[in-house]
Amino acid sequence: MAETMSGAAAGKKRLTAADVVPGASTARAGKLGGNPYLPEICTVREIIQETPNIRTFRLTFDDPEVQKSFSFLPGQVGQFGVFGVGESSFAITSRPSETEYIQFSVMKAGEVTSAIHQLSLGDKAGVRAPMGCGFPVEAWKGKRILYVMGGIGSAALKATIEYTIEHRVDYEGISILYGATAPENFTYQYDIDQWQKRDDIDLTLTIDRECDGWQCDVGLVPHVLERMNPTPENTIAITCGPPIMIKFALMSFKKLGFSDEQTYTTLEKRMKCGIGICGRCNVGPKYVCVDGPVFSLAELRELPDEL
Amino acid sequence: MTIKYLAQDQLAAFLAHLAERARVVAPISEDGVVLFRNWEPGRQVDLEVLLAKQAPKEFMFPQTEEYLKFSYRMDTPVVDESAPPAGASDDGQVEAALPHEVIEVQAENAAPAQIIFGLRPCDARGFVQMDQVFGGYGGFYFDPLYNAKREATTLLAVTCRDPRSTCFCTAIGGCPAGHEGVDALFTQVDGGFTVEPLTEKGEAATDFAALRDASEGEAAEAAEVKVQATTRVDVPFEIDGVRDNLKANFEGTSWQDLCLRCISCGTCTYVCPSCYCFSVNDSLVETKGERYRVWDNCFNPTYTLETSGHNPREKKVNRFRNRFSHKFWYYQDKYDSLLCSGCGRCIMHCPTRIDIREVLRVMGAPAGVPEAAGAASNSAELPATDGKEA
Amino acid sequence: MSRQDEIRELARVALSTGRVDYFIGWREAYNPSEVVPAFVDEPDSVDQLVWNDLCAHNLTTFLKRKMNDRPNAKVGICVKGCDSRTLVALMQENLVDRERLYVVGVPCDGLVDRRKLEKEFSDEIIDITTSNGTVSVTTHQGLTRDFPKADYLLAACGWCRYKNAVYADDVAGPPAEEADRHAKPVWTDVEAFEALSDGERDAMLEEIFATCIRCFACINVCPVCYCWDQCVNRSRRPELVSQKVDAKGNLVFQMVHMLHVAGRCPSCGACDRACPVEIPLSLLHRKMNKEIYDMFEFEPGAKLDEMPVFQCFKIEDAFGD
Repeated sequence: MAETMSGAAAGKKRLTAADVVPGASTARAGKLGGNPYLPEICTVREIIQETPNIRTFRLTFDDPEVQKSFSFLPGQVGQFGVFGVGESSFAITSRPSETEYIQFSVMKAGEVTSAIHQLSLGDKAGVRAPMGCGFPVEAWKGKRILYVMGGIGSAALKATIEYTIEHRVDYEGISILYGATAPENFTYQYDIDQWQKRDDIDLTLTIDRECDGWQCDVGLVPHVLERMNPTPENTIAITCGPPIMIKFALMSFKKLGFSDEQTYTTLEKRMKCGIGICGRCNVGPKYVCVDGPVFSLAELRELPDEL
Repeated sequence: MTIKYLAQDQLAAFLAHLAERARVVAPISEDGVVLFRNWEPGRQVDLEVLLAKQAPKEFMFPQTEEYLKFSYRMDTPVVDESAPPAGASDDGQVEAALPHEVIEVQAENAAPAQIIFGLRPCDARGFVQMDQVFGGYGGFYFDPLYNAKREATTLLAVTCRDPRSTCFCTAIGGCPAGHEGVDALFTQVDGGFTVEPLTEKGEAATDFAALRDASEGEAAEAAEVKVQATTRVDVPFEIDGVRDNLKANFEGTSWQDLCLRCISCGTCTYVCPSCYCFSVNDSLVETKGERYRVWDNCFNPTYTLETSGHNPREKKVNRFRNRFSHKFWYYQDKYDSLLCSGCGRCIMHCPTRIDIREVLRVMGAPAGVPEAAGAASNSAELPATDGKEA
Repeated sequence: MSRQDEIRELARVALSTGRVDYFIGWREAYNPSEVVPAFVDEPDSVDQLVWNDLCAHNLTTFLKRKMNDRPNAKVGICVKGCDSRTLVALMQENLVDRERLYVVGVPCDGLVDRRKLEKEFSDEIIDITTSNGTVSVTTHQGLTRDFPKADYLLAACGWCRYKNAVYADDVAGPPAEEADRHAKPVWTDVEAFEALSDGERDAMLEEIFATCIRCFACINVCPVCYCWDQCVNRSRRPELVSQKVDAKGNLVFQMVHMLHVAGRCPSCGACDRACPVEIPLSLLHRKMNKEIYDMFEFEPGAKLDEMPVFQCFKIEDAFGD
């Protein structure tokens, strides 16, 4: 079988049955898993009601070997689903160093997320993870990291925030700007409390409108960001949140002098297989599921305008 | 590998011999409709019609394929009185075992031996093109379902003696007597076929007493058939540069003109030898169910519909643009292969005869400055501070 | 002037006076035996428009929502008698703005069934011309054969009683000789279907729907089918029709379509012609039409000012006969 069709990229090859671990899920064998459609069965161990419509689920893999060996890069995602309803792609929101469980934060919005919200402790779910490309946290060492997020956008950045905090000495600075519509709509309150106690993280919380008892900032995220006036020097800017917030945050980054190469975001698309085969989640030649969900603005500018 | 010869009146016996070891499918006409159907002794293979209405991809990639089966139950573990209590509290009491949910999940992957006889070189080439995506080419994932069937299938192709006006395989690197993906190539000559085994599978399949060595005359006749057929295939566009021009013309307004008569169905996608997009659904009845994949197509208006209601390809013209861009640009970038073999089925079967050759002539050709896209969204102002976030 | 010339002239005038922004007709595709919908927006380009025995496409499907996004354009369109009835159905449902339409009625004596001719040859057909009741077919390899047109009419044309458009602003040429619209419709194909035993009918339906590939060509080509992403057949939440493609599911899929177009479908046959695997879909729609005719003496889309049978309720309906 010809290894290349046009000869344009010598050295690339396609996998055959001999190259993969037969029947193995992604959790067991990554990209060499012989059956990347096979979920690992997990049990729901803890459910945290983050906001009225967002729940965090902590799951353990039923197979203790898988639980022990499971690892992921910050920013990677998993297909988390209910057998009989379906799967959806969610960012893994546990700390990458967490060994006891895998965590997803899910906003109730449609068919699959509604079924996930009906899970109780002890219920079974399917997980296909880790997938996608994570944030290039290694390449970012020595830099200042600026996280700008809104609402459920915190889920996409959570694991990476925790990783960079855990490796705080490797980064020149960590700033977090987190906006929500109202005080009860912040996720990870319990972790935010910990971040607020630290003097080596610059944390700004903001809500849309004035509210009794609210001590922190007020204003839409892009406005507050511009008020903060962060320097682009040696800084990586990452944003995630509702599409409208991302759009204006990216404009603000540009105004503040951030280049396309130092600005990152994550994309969302309707997904099915999650492994770059079913053909659905593409933006131009890139699949959001395997080439993303993390993209720098420089990469996005190369893609056709079809978000 | 030497060229052999099979007499026409031995074809049925040859197929019967194959049918002893594998499922045999071939183009068979029923009520004038030629499709790849199960061959059994007594059925007539139709090689006079150039192309079966559908490509034979369903044998590698079934339209509906259940790949996980699962069943739920509640279970209470049996408590072994003699064993040390697992969750004993301080006073030595055994904690009652609670009922808990159990699920059994089983992966399915049927791949019986099968032989496809009578497909054309463009059909075989379609499989080779799909091999890239299903084979994780370039560092992606391995699809066990397609690959198991691919391994278990032998492709016995028949040279296209009389190409149609809608064929364009030679324009994109194919040929009416092409070898890509073909295990053994049959060419119709006087009184029968020359048979060229091209792979080990082809050798194994053509190991049959009635196949004798071809005479020089038969071999020469086959060679002539191939040359004649190749010269009669149209070259309706220049493939070099199509990829770059599709990229440059992404915002071009001609897409709208080209798609006016498109009705945004899925016919072109489903009859194509290389289109492979699919959807995944779960089915559950009481406690038992399956997860299955099913062919989908990028003209489906819900194809990119997100839960939020946002749909990047809500407009027909965007979906239309995507299909051609996928086949001649995106797939090339990812997998170093086109996703089209020039069979022309999309043209023949499209209810309004959308013509891929015309699309590529217009959008795959260099344009001037690409016409301005719709209003740029970057020029909007920030909302007032008391506005709502989406 | 031939009808073809009439159409071209009416289109030319409509475009050059600005009465329409674009004009929908028929034209040749990659060879003269293939005719496809044409969209003309320049008066100088009207010569691409044709009228011949291959102009089967029901062009009114291009007026429905989400087909082509030109919401305020003035549109000219050619309609045969059968097409005019789906146009009337769209008008009765307020789906087309009559103010922006210029309708050219094209009287029609019946069209040729290209698929029936295809089955006479294993080679590709590249030219079809008709003259004086004879159809001349030429193939890619140069074979030519003649056929009597009367034996190769589209099935729908065989029993057509609407040779002239029921609604038109202008008519291209002299009217066609009309069959009596007050006579009872012909239902021989439906009666043959009804005469099958339950077992025979089950087997027939199972066989034809086993080849269905759920491509939605029938749905999308139908002028009165316009739900698009909201279609019951695509519903995920709840899943009303199984997405598994098998004979039973495909029959349910088609029945949903049948029931939704019943009373609005004049069985123009566009669905038959669009189906890539040649399932005889309009037979089932004609079965519905026969039921509706027997119950209500109603023919869909025949009269613009007649209330569609399933969009109103008359007290007599409750009591039957």
